[in-house]
Amino acid sequence: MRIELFSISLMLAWMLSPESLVLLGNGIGDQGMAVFPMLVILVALSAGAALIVNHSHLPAQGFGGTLLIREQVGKVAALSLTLSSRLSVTLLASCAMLVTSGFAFNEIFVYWFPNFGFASLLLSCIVLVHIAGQKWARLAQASFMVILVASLVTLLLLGVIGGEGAREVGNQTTTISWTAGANGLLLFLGYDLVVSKERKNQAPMILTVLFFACSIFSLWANLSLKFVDPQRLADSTIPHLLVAREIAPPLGRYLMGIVIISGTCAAVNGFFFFTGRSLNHLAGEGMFPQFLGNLWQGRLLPVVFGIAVTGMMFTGLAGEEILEAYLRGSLLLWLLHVSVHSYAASRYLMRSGRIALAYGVLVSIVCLGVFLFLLFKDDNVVALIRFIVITLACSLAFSIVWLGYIKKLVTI
Amino acid sequence: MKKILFVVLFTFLVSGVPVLAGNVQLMEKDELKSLLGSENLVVLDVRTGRDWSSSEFKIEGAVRAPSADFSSWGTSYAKDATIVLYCA
Repeated sequence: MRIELFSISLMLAWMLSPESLVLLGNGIGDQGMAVFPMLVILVALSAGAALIVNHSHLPAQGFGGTLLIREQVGKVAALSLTLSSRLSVTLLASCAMLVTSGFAFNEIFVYWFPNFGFASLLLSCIVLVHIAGQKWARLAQASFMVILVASLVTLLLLGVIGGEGAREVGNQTTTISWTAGANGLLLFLGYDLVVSKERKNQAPMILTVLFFACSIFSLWANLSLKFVDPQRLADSTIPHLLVAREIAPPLGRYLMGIVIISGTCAAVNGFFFFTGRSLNHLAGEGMFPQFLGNLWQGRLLPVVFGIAVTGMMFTGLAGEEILEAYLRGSLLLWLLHVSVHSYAASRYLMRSGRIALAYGVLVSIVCLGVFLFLLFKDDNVVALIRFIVITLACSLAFSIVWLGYIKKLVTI
Repeated sequence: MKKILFVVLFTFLVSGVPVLAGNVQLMEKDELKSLLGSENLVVLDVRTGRDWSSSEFKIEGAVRAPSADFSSWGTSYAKDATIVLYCA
């Protein structure tokens, strides 16, 4: 039961993160009423991908499917894809969200406390929790998630019960935006962060989480369209705050501030945990340097992540426009990882005689299609391609060198 | 001896930078508030990246002017206007 709760908190950490709320808000503004059927389509697609990559007949080994991808696609591809997608999203999303939470704290709660000071404080606390041990990291994750969900649900209830200043949603515009729709697929990523020591039927849990997230998004979309003009939502960099301010001034702002900060903590803690444990497992398989993966019972990696994120913040990456392109690139790499993971899972299942699950190949193709669509549709396509190519190339180079080195050692 | 010379030179340069930068005044928020709305005032928001996008507050009437694009907006304003750059 504890593992299920922890997996739920990992899955939801990205879906309810401040970055997702911005994606969602902009998507609501772009699509208007069309966001509701779009969310249904997106959750169905995500459920398909989630059920394939977490299928109970897959071997219960590794975190995030790297070992499965190794078996079906190859060692080098598996390691390079894992490193490029997991590390980039862990570091870049953490940097971006920590800075956002710093601003939220400064502007909503304590105006004299420096933004970066708060961001650094949060990061330090998360790293300390990981140094304390896995048990504390899990406890922290659960705590962050409880606060996040409670605050968000309270805000939603206030919006539903309240209503002053609300408009009729039924008369809103409806715009089919394929870009906004494709972006929406990024909202539901996180279903591949399920942690399990043994494979069992996790479909009910996964579907419950996806349904819960979709319900939250739909209710939020309804309130957003009621309280804020869609064009403002589409153009804003803080659409979730605009809505919260209107729902219940001034309480709405404070609640959204708590959502942003607890959501950041949950996402950063979750990423540090999952990526750290993934690399620990790979180290155990000889696919990653053991001294990094296993030293100090695996506590070194979150410290390394913390130092890297601190370096990013203090070199001013948060003040660079290019961070958005890098963050976008890391999310697309995550989607690419899901595509390959789905393909690897469906190949394994088909070889085991489970033909009915060949739809995994279809899921893989759709995810790859959305990856390419979002890549080439982006305003910053050159920077995005450069980031993805360089990240993949670096992780590929590391994988070739490291796996070649290990092979030599084994041969000797 | 070389080390001492380096430290002295470095200290001189660092303390000399404000002089070299010219006469740039700082304005308190109350003073800016009193000037808002006046014709001769131009408020430029020079925040970039997340410093701008994460912030809930933007001064009314401020024009976004990232420092990286200085060449495009640097000569757009009258020299006798009161130009206020804010970054926090």
